[in-house]
Amino acid sequence: MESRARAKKFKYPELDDLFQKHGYADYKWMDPQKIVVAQWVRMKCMFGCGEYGKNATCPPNTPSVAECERFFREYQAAAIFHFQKKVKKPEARHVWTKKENLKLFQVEREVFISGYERAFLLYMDSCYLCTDCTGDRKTCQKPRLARPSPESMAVDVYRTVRPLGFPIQVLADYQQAMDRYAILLVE
Amino acid sequence: MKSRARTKKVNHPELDALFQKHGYADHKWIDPQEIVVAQWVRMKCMFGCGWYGVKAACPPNTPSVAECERFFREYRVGAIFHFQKKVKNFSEHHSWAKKENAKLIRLERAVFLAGFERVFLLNMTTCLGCRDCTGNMATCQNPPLARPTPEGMAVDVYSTARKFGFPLQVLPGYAQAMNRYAILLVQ
Repeated sequence: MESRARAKKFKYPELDDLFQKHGYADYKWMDPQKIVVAQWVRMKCMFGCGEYGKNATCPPNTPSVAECERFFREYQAAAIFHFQKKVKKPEARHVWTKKENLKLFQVEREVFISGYERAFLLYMDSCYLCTDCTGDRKTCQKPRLARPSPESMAVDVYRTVRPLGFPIQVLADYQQAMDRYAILLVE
Repeated sequence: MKSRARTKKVNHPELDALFQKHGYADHKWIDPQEIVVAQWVRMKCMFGCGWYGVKAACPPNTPSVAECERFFREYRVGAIFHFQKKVKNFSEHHSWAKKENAKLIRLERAVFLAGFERVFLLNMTTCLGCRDCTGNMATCQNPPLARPTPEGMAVDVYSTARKFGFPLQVLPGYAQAMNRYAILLVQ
């Protein structure tokens, strides 16, 4: 599929090397101004999701939709990482995403240390680092490691990744492979 | 490095004398309109910092980012104070910061008594006054002494300090000297 958004030229060879060193090949640079933020996404968190108020990195522990939008508009460069995986049952997803998110955290840390003071990672799934999450940001047991997901920051992930040529669709069952996305806001 | 924002020409010789009397030499007068406020700073407090909800002078006990912005826009004169220090570990940082913060509070009080009714200090580190901080401003044990930091008030300290020709960069550990900043909003 041809990418509908023309790829903005991002020149971060040192970060490309870093991503490669960490084993990432399936990612694209993007302009964070093109991240689609929408109120309907927050509505899906509030009504329909069992993690609302139970996960310390999910709404209502994230900023308002307007504040999320402001946050993304403060950045000029981001990398979006694609993950594809088929799992047999819901519980298996969390085991996999916890491992992947902790790996991603190391990338965020190294980008920060290399001088990008505002580097901020959005995990590729809700934070599942603790089995007994307090459900409240103020009492989070892993404050340094916990990060929100793109959707908990009101990102319309569908409309954000499709113009970049990435696949995503509603899935009906576990026979199909999931497409998940992490976003690393760089500067 | 050439300063991008002009330091403000302020004619308050009595305050210069006061700063000197309190032992401060490394400061600049600034126009508080030049203070950079950003949502990403608040995100770093919410996700990644162990003091969110734990220290009474830190978010979520500070105003929203939009309200912080409004607060700075109400001032015409401010001063930024630079502190440089190398410490071996957090314990050493803690005792140094506690002492410096207490000194700055005394300066704020002296400026207030000189007739500047709206003088407000943003301290150079998180308030570390009490060992058993309640984590809530409403139950703070030392309200006359507690003040937020610039970052707790959503100030992008990197961009703001650099604007005025002050040094600041991400440090990977304790081997290098820290650069910290306090802001005194005067009127």
